[in-house]
Amino acid sequence: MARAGDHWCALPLTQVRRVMTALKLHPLPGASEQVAGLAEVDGEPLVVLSLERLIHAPAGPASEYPVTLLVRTREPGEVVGLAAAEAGDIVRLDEATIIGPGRGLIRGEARIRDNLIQVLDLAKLGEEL
Amino acid sequence: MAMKSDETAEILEQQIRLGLAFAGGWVLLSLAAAIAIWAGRTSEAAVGSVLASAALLVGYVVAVRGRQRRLAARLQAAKTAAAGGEQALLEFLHKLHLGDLVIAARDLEQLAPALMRAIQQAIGALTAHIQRIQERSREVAVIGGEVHSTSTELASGFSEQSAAVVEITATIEELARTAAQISQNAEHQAELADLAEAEGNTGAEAVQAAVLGLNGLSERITGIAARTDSLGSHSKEIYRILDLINEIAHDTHILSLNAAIEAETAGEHGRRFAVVAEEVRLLAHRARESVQSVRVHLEEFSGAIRSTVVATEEGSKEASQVLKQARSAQGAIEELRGALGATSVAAQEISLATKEQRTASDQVAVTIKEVREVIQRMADGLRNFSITARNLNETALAIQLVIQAFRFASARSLKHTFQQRADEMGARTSGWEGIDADLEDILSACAYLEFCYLADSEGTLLATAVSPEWSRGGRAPADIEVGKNYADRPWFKTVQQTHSATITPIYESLQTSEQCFSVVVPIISPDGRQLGVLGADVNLTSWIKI
Amino acid sequence: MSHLEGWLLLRRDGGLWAIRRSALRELRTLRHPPGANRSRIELVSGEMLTADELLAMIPRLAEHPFPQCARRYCDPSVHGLSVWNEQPVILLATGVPPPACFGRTPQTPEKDIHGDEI
Repeated sequence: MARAGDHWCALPLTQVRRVMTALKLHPLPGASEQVAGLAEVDGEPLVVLSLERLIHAPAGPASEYPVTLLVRTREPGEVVGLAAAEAGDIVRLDEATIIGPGRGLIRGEARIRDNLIQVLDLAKLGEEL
Repeated sequence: MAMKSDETAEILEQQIRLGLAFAGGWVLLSLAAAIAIWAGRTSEAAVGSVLASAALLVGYVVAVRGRQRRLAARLQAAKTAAAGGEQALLEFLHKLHLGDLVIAARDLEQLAPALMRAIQQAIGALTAHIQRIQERSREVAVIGGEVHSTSTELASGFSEQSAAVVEITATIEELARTAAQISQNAEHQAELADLAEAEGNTGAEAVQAAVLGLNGLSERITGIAARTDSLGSHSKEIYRILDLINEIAHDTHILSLNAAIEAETAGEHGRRFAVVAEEVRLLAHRARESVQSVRVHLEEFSGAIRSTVVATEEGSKEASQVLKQARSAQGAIEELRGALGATSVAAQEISLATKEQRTASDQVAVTIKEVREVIQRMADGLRNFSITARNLNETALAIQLVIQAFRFASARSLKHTFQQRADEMGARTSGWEGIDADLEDILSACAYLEFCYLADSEGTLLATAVSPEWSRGGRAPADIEVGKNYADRPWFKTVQQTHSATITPIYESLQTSEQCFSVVVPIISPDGRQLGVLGADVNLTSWIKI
Repeated sequence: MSHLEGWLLLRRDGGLWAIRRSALRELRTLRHPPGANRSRIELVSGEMLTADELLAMIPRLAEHPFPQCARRYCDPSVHGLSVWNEQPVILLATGVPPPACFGRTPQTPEKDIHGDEI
């Protein structure tokens, strides 16, 4: 679970490679707003995208501990970073509870502990949202 | 008469010498007879002596008788001349009695030449003396009038000064009363100042105690603030530790997530690792909840500390403000004490000064009173002087009028001036024709005349002329009418009786209400008939100035 | 220069860039504005770039491809990524117009160290 703006999102655990905190971001001049910046992780460059802008989430409360989720894209070996406001818990989500249809990166919605969650499909990263 | 007297004396002397001569001769003869008798020649002596005696006697009688006859003749002539001169002298003395020196100087031919010359010289000298007296009396009258006027003004001025001095005295007395009041108020003010100074001392002590108390309070507040700061610092440290714990909890949470991710990747082999990861995640969660709980309590504690700090700060500020105000009040009290002390001193000085002023005012009042008395005496003296001057003026005027009783050949002799006019009128053959013009001419020639008039020998007023300078509209006094008879008036009667000019006493003019007198002269024809009376009213003030 | 290997490392608009040495024709250090370390880079292709700072000429960089899913969000001139001195580096492609940030016209005329306007 991760919060993007005002929305809690559920990302497939299998697609999340790592959760990181306090990544120093460097600007990528000429890039659109979906790009949060560039980072260096373990000696390798990382493109970090803004999850909030990717799913067009409204602005939420300020983040005390922002995180960067390193996720695998559909390209083999390709990893990008998703900047989120905070990392939540790991939850079990029944497929039947996902209410679709989704739109772009959002596969659907589900209700967890009385909260409406955006269920993401990271395979749709890069597609028209 | 003198000459005849001299002759008579000479004759008498001659007679005496003759008598002595004859007596001497008789003595010689007697002696010769005596010798003859001694010589025995008695008969010759007797005859000789008798003959000699008879011759002497006859000769003496003849000489003396002749001379006596001549003397008697001369005496008779002198007697006759003396009678004529006496008459002339009586006439002269009568004229002189009337004061008419001009007429008196005439018709003296019957007097002895020497007497006549002497009389003329005497009249001339008398006229000169009268003129000098008139001139001097005129000057005295003018001076007396000026002195009277001046002294009257001075007396009036002194009276005004006296009144002013009275006002000054009243003012000085009022000033003295005011000074006394001020002195009393100053004394009271000094007492109040002393009292206030004493109160100020008490207040200063109280303020000093308050300042000391506030200093202590401020120090305690500062101590509290310091301890509060210390608590705040500790709470900040606690916050920092909580943040650290929170961060650690978060990192642990992330670690647990990554562990879960790795566990998921590891598949079956990662299941126990996943359990551990879950426990770690729960531990991190509990740590975060504890941190949150501690943070809440710490927030409350920090809030209380902040409130305490704020209250302490405000208290400190208020204490500082109060201390500042107390110090300011202390300073003000000190200044007030100083001012009160100065006020007390000043009030005492004022009281002393006003007492001195009161004394000085009293002295001034006494002095002014003396001055007023002096002024009053001077005013009284001036009034007396003015009266004396007035009397002198009146005396000089009286002398003038006395002098005017004489007629002497001068334009300053009113009688002479008017008598000449009257004589001209009397010598006229045309009667009273043109008399109005004559009266107008007299007024124009004599500026000191108010009014001029002519009456006939019966006392009926024939004509009048009024000086425009002295009249209103050229009208005669209301009492005077042409055609009215004034034979009963004193001025007419006197002229009728004396047939000579007369000067009336001073009276109030009907024309001007000023002092005036009248000069009235008879109009005599050449043959000695009184044809009428010419009169004029003389304004005294105007006449004196001439 | 076009035959040399290696990369020119520079900074522009806060980003770290790398250009192949073979693509370079000329480098000029600019004097204006005073105090800045700006340089004008002329590429073989004729493009003129302005760098805020020239950092180094390094022989080799580990090239990493730009993520496909993020390609649509960046300029086409971005060839790839690398890391230098623990910082991400943007590799510029040759034969492709550079990003607009490199060719922005300055507000005032630029002069080289000799004082000549560029």
